[in-house]
Amino acid sequence: MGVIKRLIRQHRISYYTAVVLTFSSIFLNLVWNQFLMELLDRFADAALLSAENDSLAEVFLRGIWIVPLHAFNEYVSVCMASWVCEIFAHDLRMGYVKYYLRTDIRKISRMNVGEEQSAMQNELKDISDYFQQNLFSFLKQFATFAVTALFLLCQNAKLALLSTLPAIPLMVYCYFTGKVIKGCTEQCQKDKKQINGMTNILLELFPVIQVYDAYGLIRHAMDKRIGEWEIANIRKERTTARLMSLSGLLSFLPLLLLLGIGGTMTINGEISIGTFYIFINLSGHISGFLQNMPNIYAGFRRFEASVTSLGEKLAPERV
Amino acid sequence: MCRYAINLNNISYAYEGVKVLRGLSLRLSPGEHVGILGDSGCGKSTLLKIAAGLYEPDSGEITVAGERLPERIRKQVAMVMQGNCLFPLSIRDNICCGHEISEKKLWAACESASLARWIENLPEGLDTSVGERGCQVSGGQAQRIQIARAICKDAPVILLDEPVSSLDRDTGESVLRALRKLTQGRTVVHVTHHPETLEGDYVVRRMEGGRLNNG
Repeated sequence: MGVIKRLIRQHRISYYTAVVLTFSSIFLNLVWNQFLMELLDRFADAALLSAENDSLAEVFLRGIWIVPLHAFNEYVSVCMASWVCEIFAHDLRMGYVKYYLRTDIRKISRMNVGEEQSAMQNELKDISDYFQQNLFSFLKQFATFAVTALFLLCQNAKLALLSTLPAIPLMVYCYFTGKVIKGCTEQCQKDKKQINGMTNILLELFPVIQVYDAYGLIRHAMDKRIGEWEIANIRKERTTARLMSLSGLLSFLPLLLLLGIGGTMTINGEISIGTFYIFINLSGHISGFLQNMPNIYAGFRRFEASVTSLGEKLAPERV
Repeated sequence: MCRYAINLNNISYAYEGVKVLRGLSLRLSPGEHVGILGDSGCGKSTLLKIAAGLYEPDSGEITVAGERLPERIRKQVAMVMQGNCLFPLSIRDNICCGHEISEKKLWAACESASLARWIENLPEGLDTSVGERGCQVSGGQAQRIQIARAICKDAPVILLDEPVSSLDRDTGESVLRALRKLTQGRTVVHVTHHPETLEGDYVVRRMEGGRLNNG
């Protein structure tokens, strides 16, 4: 991960600005939820509503500025994050170019151009896709999870724990299903790689195929490989559908528990309706993150593998 | 009926506007062997591909073993090329190329190509995979498999494109011995950088400026 650290060091101002903007977006979201909670509580308290109409208007005025500010902050945050990701990806691409330009010609002449090109494109695409889709998104998810958990614990520790704990077995289930799906995906990729390899060879050896009339042999070999890929693909899709549908069903449990426990607490007067609302509204940030954690981790591992592979080629001075 | 095994008459060929062959002519009687020398990029391999019916010339006439149509010419030739020209399949598939060939004929071809002993010692014998780009076999073995493939085709015309250029001296020698068995009694065009590989009854010609001169 040294390459990424170096990139962050080189572009620290823009990177940390994007991080601050991401955090401020989460903060504004919580302020908005706090405002909604207050508003709901005032609505619920009918006596206060009739007696203090001015106070309600005051609450409205106090909260309404959050909407444009939040929208603006989201816009700037997304722009900044995309810009930083593009800078990182550009630097990596240029680093790779410099690597080839500075490599000894004898070493280059021994390289398999097709494989090198394919590896470079795959690694750079993996990293740049991860940057664009996950880097700040993951940071935002993690920060949202941490800040929201703290916020909910401050509101009502008992309800916060009761609504979060059921997500843990679900997380374990997601982790193991993720492993099973990963195995199927790898088999699929392996079979697809063989088809790509066979296609390359077919193009390279086309003169041999023509002279020795080997069309039948190649067609048979391709049919076999495509058949294997098809079987692996069907198995992957079937396994994913089965495991993920059960995970989808199980993901309702934390919400049902929250509704049951939180609703009872509201009826008993332990928490206000506003507090109950924000728990329902924000609990997804915690359980969603926990359930998605195996996928985030798997994505991160793929990203780490590509970065490590690139790091071997990109010496410190090259990026 | 043409009395030549190979008759290339006034052949011209250009790659993207750059002329590689300029009115080249070559006539070989059945059983005649010709070695073609020349610098890299002078058009030697192009000439072989035209003679094999893989490329159609821009102008000129070709007759190979009495055939004029490219798809018929291809049936009359066998090629051994430089580098690894193996399919990522078994040794048997690489030699038979999907055609029905008797075990006897197959083993005879392996024997002539000096492959039989090596294959007999392999756990899976002829069904051993040569791997992706022939990575499971050595350069010499890969060339011998190509030779066995050419022997099995039993074509009257043999085209050799630098068959030993990527091999070390000793391996190259043993591959050349196997090649001699393949080329015996057949018409041969052998393209190479190395004149020392053209031993025996080869008529040597040099390729310059897209034409053939006497060597």
